[in-house]
Order: sequence, then structure tokens, then C-alpha cells
Amino acid sequence: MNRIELISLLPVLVLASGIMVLMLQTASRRSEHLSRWICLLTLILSLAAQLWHYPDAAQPITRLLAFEPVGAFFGILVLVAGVSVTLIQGPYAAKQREPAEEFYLLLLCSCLGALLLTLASHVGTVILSLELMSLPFLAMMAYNRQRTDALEAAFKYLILSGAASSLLLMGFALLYVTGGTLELAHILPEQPGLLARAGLVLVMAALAFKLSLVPLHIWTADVYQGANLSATLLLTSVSKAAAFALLIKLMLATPPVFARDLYLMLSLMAIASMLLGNWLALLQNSIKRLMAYSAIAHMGYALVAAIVATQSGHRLVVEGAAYYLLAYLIASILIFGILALLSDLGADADKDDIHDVKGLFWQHPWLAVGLSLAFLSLAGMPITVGFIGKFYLLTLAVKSELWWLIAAMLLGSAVGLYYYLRVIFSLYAEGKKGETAVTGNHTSRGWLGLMAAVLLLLGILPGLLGDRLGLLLLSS
Amino acid sequence: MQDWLFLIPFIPFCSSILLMLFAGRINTLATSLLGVGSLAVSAVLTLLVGLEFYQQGAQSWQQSLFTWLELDGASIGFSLYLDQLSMLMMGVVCGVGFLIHWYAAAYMASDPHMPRFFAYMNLFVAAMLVLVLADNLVLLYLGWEGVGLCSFLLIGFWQQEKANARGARKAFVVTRIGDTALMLGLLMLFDLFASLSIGDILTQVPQLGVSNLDQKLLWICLLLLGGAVGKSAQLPLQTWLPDAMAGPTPVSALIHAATMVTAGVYLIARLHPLYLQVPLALEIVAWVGALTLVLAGLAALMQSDIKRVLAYSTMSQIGYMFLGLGVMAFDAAIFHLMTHAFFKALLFLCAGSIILKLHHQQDIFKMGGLARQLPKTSGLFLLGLLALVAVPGSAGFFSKEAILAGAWQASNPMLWYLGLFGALLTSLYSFRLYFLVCLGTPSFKGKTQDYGAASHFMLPLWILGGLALAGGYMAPQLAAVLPASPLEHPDLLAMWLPVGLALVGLLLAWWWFGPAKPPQPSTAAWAALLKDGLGFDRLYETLFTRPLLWFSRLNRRDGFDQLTWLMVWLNLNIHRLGTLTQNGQLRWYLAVMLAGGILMLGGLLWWR
Amino acid sequence: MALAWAELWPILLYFLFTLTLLAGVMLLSSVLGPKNKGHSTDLPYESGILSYGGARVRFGNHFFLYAIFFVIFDMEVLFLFAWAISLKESGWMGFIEALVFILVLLVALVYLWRIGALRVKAEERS
Repeated sequence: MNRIELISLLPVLVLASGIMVLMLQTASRRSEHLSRWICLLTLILSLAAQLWHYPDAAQPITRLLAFEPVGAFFGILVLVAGVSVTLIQGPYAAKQREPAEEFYLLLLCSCLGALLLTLASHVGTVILSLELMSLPFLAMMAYNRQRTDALEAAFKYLILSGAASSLLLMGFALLYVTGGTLELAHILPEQPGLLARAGLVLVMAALAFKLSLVPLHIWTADVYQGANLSATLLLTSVSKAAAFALLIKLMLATPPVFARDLYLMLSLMAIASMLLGNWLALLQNSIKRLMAYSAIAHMGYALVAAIVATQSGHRLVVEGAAYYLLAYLIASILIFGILALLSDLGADADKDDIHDVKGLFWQHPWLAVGLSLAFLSLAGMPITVGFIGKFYLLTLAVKSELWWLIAAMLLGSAVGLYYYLRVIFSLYAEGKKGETAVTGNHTSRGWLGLMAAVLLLLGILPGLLGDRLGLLLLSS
Repeated sequence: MQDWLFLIPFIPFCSSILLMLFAGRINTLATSLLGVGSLAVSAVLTLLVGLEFYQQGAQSWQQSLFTWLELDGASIGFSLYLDQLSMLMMGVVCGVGFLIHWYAAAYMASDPHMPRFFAYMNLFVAAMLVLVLADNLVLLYLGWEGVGLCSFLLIGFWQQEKANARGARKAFVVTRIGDTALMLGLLMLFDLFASLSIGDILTQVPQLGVSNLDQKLLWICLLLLGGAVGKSAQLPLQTWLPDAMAGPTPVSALIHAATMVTAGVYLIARLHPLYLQVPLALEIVAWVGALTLVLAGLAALMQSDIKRVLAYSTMSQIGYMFLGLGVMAFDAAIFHLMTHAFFKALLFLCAGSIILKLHHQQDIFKMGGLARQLPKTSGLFLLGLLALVAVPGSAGFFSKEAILAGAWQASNPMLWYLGLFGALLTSLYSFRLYFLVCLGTPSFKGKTQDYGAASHFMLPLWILGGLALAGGYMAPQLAAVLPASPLEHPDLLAMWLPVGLALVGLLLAWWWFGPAKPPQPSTAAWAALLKDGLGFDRLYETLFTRPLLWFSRLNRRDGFDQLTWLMVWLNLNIHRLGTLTQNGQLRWYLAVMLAGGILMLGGLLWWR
Repeated sequence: MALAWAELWPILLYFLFTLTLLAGVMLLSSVLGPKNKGHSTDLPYESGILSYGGARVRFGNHFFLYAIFFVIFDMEVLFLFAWAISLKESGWMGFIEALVFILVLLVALVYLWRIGALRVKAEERS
């Protein structure tokens, strides 16, 4: 391990040492405030390290990790999501009775896992980091133990993600049997037998679980609804971004023989996700549940990019997927962040019902505008970043002539518009008279404002990031 | 100075934005300073730019600001183009516009929504300037739509009253028909020339030659004419202008007399090389103008609302301009455009002063004898009317004479006869108006005092009066842009015949409407028909509006709707079916998940 | 399909074998087993005490925690053991890495100790 490798690992090292500092701080003197700032500082330092030393070419770090541009971009997404959750959590959890410091510890552990997953180049790292990412979720989901829904959600996630992990292990085992190597880049043999194919399919199934793609989407709604808002945000941002990084990596390493098999399977999965996700969300009243179904649909959209990756040139594909996930992430942060400002972790349930936010505009216009922007972005309306993301994907799909996928995308978007607009209309409807209490300090509000600004800015001037993104990811 | 050109439309635009932002938060004084001041700055800049432009003797200036749209092979820039024609138009818009704004600041001073008014007015001026300065047709179209929007907003400015809102809507819808034609014309032009830059098109036109393109060019010319006709209230899209008088009087003066309604004339003059290729199109332009000028003159004869008289007279005068364009006296048409802007603005503003003094009484049969009570205003009013009648020496005389000289040269003598008949009508309705309003015995209660000679109501009028008198001696230099009118003058008889006819009109007006007779509106059927603007409104209603309404009533529950509902039903049911799978039971979820995994594996076997 | 068959027959055979084995065991036990019918045959926990109360009772889990801690630290000793037998080969680099590892363990231990996870009696834990 030489100096360059250490520098490349800096974000990870910062996170890891941050965890230790946080543990020591908690052990010596409990202070929610201090813990939050340590957590925030760690994440920001890590983010800074990631940005400062952005890789321009793939560079292995031992046999377990590889530092490369695509993964690094998803790493940035992970860290941004982590920062958002940290900022939201403070006011959100102010009134709950559990010890507050451990949440940040769990959060950092989870981020560490996700970051390692984006760096992983070896099956061992993949499995370790996947579990390191997922296990803290369980505790964070049920952080308020008085909420029975949350306990139920955590338990469901434990069982189901355990099942998915077993699929992953089985898949990698089958691949190892045929290929005899555990390095991701070479794990797929050039002349695959049926066993290797089955192994790949199982791995894909496990990733589909993490990304909540049909047909392994079934857990999403219950878990999202039960878990508290911070955990849901983590689940929808950190977990998805990291899993997607892995998926893209596998896709880019797929030999052409596999590509034919995968193409049909993933196409069907994407189509089913886009349609079913949107259809299921149609009349949802719980915004968290709605976001769960919309996550299914959005991951379906993002999968389109991965499908194109099996077909043709790589650069635009990665760019498209990255932009789409970025758009999705920003909108999710805004939505869950604003809901967290309205809710209280100490209460029995979050205020995520569509009737809870009815007429929000007349009480808290800025929050309502932020929520509307985020939903519009998810719906892919122009001048928001979501539009640009969808535009990328559509361009890619049209270039590769994937007409069925395009049809499903358009149909799904049309259905999606209905339920997004339903929420937005409810925001501006004549609401209840009672004042909805809002928590939140200047930092968290400022952060959400920044997210909204970025959402608009990247929507209006997509070139601002698009060109850079292209350059960043080009070298892969 | 050249680099400052863009400031001329930009300053009113900024001021408009500021007024919109601060509406309700600033007082009357600040509003007028901002609203009128921005125009004053623009006017001064126009003057400076104009001086330098004429000193340099340049053909044209061009200023590219930024690229607006990237089309296939033809990028549309946000660029301005200044030549003699647009210089003149800019001068009219800024100069007359400034005077009208000045007047409007006094006229609207007591209105609570004054900032909104000036915001719209300034926006209008900005859009109009974009229209005349546009270097390409897309930008021109932007200005074209912008002035249409502002016209709509200002006609319905007092939107509390239904009639005003209806007038605004009518104006918008009717001009929209023309705008659509214009849009189609532009698209066809783009198809033909692969460019929408005016300069490109005009240099390419002569090289086209006479080939099978003729038919296409004719269509283009007719579609463009459709746009011009809509905006300039000519037959057959003239019906909106009288109803547009519902707006405040300065609006009528600025938009519906001096500037916007002449945009059609400008458009055709700007694109005249196209029309020169297609003689038939030119002839149609001439006939549209000639018919409009006569019909509008007839309609003006029987109006009882002072502003509607002026509206029909505007229509008729623009008819003269179209006639001038049609007989290839382009410079005469533009000349008339300029002088008309002077005296018609003067007339409208005088009318506004009178209306204000009589507490918003607009019926001329309830006026009378104002020459004694409002001597200065009435005097200026008479001055404007004399210019309108084209009394020798006044501004209108020179320009109208030039147009009629052009018509004299035209192949079809009928055009000339119609022009002459129009001159008679003009004189008739003008003096009828004067006699009914200013002479005779007052038929209203109360006495009024005229405005002070130096009040803000009078100062702009003095200047406009001066322009209406002397404007005829400022024949514009357009030789670099427009082909000169035919040089030879008609014989003496033809030249002085219009003046004679005007005199006849005066006598007839004295005979019919003179102060000796008690004023009362005629009740005959033909008078009612004329008053209705020759029944075009009713015609259009039975031809278009009624069938459309009938059809939409018939189609209230239309089939396509049912189809849509079917889709809604389908979607909701899929949703309900889907939610059945989300029953919350862990064992079921686990089973579904594993089934999904098996499905994927099975699919692999099946579809390999 | 033929190819799939050629590759997959051992797995299918394995499945079949498992199925027959399981079915055989259950069949045999139902055939051979004695069938007594007493009054407590259908009660749960035939060999122990009868169940009472609800299943949703909270009970202390600190012994469970102990077990977990033991397993975790035990596993980590395993790594140290692997390092110890290759001490010379891994050199200074290995030494530093092991040091970091031990440090992390130490921090975790301090944390557990300070938050009171190691106290046996429930009431002592605040």
C-alpha cells in the first residue's frame, strides 16, 4: 500500500476515522449537538477529499478496491445524501427519547459501506460493504422503538434483504465455480455455461432487490412507509446510488455473450418496473408509500441506461445514468427533507399523508414551493433537473432504438404525472385552518434551499454539469 | 451611439418590469417618472442615434446581441437592424409614444392601477420597437405577438366592466387569426429560403426568377397580408378595432391609431421585394385598402361615439396606406403612416380631454358648443381634423396627395375613384364630428373650464399640433430602402380634385349636420347598418361563431372524452389489482421475491 | 433445452434425491411411528409446560448481547492469529495494519464499556 493508494482511499479513511472519533465522543460525553457536527464534518471532509482527488482513470488499490471515475461519481452522490440526512436529522429527532448520538454513528457506518461499494472491485468487498451498508439501516429504520410500524418495517427488511443477500452469495458462488476468480472485472467468463449465466442472473436478482426493481420490488412500499423519514431517505438515495454503481460496473464488464441474455431480461424488468411502479402509486395517500412506488418506477427508468450499456457505447450511458440518479437524488432529498421539517421522530407517525400537507402553501409557501419543485422534477417537467435526466435517457434509448422501452417510459411518465400533480394540487388546495408546526434550523432549511436552487439551476442550464460530467466520466 | 441601439427597446422593457414588480408599492409620481421617463430616455436616444445615422449616411446598421435559437443551418439571433425605414418607425414610436405617455401620466393620474397601466404601456413600446428593429422575422414575430398581448391587456385595462373585457377578447381573437396566417407565411418563407433573416430573404428574392415558385410566393404574400390585415384592422378582419376603443384613450391614441395598427403597413413595406415579384398580390393589397377606406368612411358617418368615429377614421386612413402600398407608392404609404400618427394621436388625445371634461361622456349628440367652453382643446381638435381631411398645407395633405398620385398611376382607375370617394367621406365625417362636438348649443349640463395652456394635458398636444401642421414638410428619406414613387405628377385637375371634394364634403356636412339643425341621430335602417360597421359583426357571428358554438354544444359529451375516461378506468383498475399484491404479509412478500428470482432464472432458460 | 439438460442434470438429480429422501423420511415415520391418542396429544409442547400469556413479552437481552460481543471479538482474534503466524513475512507494514486494527477494536471496546453495554444487571444501566 503506497502513498498514492492511501490518498485515493482518503474519503474512506476520513469516514472510518470519523466513526472512531464519534464513538469516542459518545463514550466520553453524550451530546447530540456535538455528534451531529462531528458527523457533518466527517462527511464534508470526505466529500472534499473525493472532489479534490477525483480519479481520471481506473486505478486498482490492492485486489479488493479500484478507484475509478464512475464509482467516484456515485460516491459523491452517497456523500451528498449523507450530508442531507445529517442536516435533516437534528431538528427532526429533537423531541424523541432514544439516545440521539448513535444515529449518526449508524449513518456514518452506512455511508462507509456505500462508499466502499462504489469502490469495490472484488466479490469480497462487495458482500462486506453491502452488508455494512444495509445492517445499520435496520437500526435507523426502527430508531424510535415506540413505532410499531417502524419495527415491522425493519423486520421485513431484515428478512427480505437477508433472502436477497443469499441470492447474491449463491450467484457469486456459481460464478466463482465457473470462472475461478472473484475479481469483478473478470468474474464473468468469456465462454459462459449455463451455471455462469444462472449465477449472473442471481446476482442481478439481488441487485434488483436493492434497487427495488420488479419482480423483487415487493418490499419497497411497506418498508418505506414504516421507516422514519431519515431512514427512508437513506434507503432511497444512498442504497440505490451504491447499488446502481455496482450494477453499472457489472454491466460495463459484461462480455457480449452475456449481453444478449441480459438485454431481454433487463428490458422486461425495466418495462415492468416503469409501468407497475407508476400504476401502484396512482391513488396513494401516503407520500412515503407513493415515493416507494415512484422509486420502483424511477429505478426502472435508470435501468434503461444500463440496458443501453449492454448494447453500445459507454460514455453517454454512464453520463445519462449518473445524471438521472443525481436528479432523482436531489428531488428525494427535497421531498423527504421538507416532510421531515413538518414531522417529528418522537411522534407516533410521520406527517406524510396527503391530507397532512393539504393547503401547505397557505401556511408555509416556501416549503410548498420546494415540494412542488421536487415533484415536478420527478415528473420530468422542463426547467427542472428531472427533465434533463429523462431527456438524456430518452436520447439514449432513441439512439439505440429501444422502442418498447421508450413506449413504456412515456406511458409510465404520463401515469406518473397524475399522482405527482395530485400531491401538488393538494398543496395548493384550501387547507385546514390550524397552523402546521415546522421544525428546522437555518442550516437544514438553507441546505434544502440549496437543493431546490440546484434543481432549478441544473434544469435551466444543464450544460453546467453535463459537460463536466462527460469529461469526468469520459476516461472510464 | 451605434452600440446603444439596443438600449432603446431595453429601457422601456426594464421600466415595465420594475413597474410590475413594484406595482402597489410606489406612488403616482414615481410611477409617472418611471413610465414616462423611460420613454423620454428612449426618445432622446432615438434622436441621438438618428442624428448619427443620418450624418454617417450609412445604408444600415446592425447590432447582434446574442444567438436566440439554433435552427437547422439557420441560427436566429437576437439582433437589431436599423435602416431608413426602421429609423422612421422608431422615431414615430418613441416620439409620439413619449408624447402620449406624457399625456397619459396626467390622464391616468387618479387611477389606482396606474403602475399596471404604465407597465403595460412600456412593455408595449418595447415590443413595438422590437417589431420595427427586428433583423429577422422570428424576432419580428416576437414583437408582433408582444404588441398584440399588450393591446389585449390595455383594451381590457378596466376589466371590471364586462364590455371592456369582451372588447379585449374580441381584439385578441380576431388579430390571432391574422397572426396565424402570418406564422404560416413565415414558415413557408423559411421553407423557401432556408432563412428567416430579412436581409437574406430580400437579397435572395430577385434571384428567384419567374418560375414555378410564383404560386408559392403568391401564397406567402397573401398569408403575410393576412397577418397585416389582422393587425391593421383592414377588411375582412377589421371588426375588432371599434370595440378596442373600450380601453383608456391614451391607449387608443398610441396603440390603435399611431403605432400598432400600422404594423401591417410596416410589414408589407419591409417585405416589399416579395410583393414586387407577384403583381397579383400587390393588386389585392390595393383593393383591400381601397375597399376598407370606403367602407370604414361610410361607417364613420353614422357613429355616435366620438372614439368610434375616430376608430373608423383610423381604419379608413390605414386603408389609404394599404392603397398606397398596393399601387407601389411605398414611400407615400410610409409618409402617410407618419403624418397619420401625428394627427390621429392629436385627435385621440383631444377627444380624451373632452371626454374627461364631460365626465366620461362619449356620445357626440350629448356634446355641442364646446368651441366656446374648451377653446384651446377644440382648436387643436379642429387642427387635427383639418390634417385628417388633408387641407392643403397640413401634414395629411402631402402624404395623402402622394398616395392618390400613386393611385392615379395605377392600372385600374377604379382605385383612384375609390380613393377620391374616400376623400369626400373623410371630409364629411370629420366636419360632422366637429360640428356636432364643438359647434351648436351644448346638450349637456354644467359648465367646464378649459385646461391651462401649460398643463400636462396641453403641452403634448401643442407639440402634436405643431407636428400635424408641419409634419408634411418633413418628407422622410426612404430612397435607400423603398423604390421611389412614380415621379410624374398627375395633371392639375387630378391633383386638386381631392381638395375640391373635401370642400364639397364640408358644405354637405354643414348642410346636414350644421349648427342650425338640432343634433339627433338618424334612425333609418341604412343608418343603423352603417352604425354597425356594415354588419360585419353579425355576418361573422352567423357564419362562424354560431356554427362553432352549435357544434361544440353538439359535441359536449364527445367520443374522444369517453375514450379518455376508458383510459382512466383502465388505469385505476390496474392500480387496484396491483395493490392487491401489497398485502403486508411477510410470507407472501418472501414468496413473491423468490418467485421473482425463479422467474428470472426460468426466463434465462426459456429465452436463450 | 438439450444443452440445458446436459449441463443441469446433476442439479436436477440432486433435487430429486433430496425430495425422495425427505418424502421417504416423512413417509416412513408416519408408517412406522406409534400413534398414541391421549388427551394432551394435540396440545403444544407436549413434553414441557403449557404455554401461558401472550407471545409479545419483552425480556432482557443482555446475555444475548454478551454472546454477540464474544462472537465478534472472538472472530477478530482470528484475524490477529492469522497475522501472528505470519509476523515476519508481513513486516512493518503488517505491524502497522495490525496496530490500526487493534486500535479500532480498542475504540469499540471503550465505546461498549462507556455506554454500559457490559454491565450485567439491568437496573445498573442508566
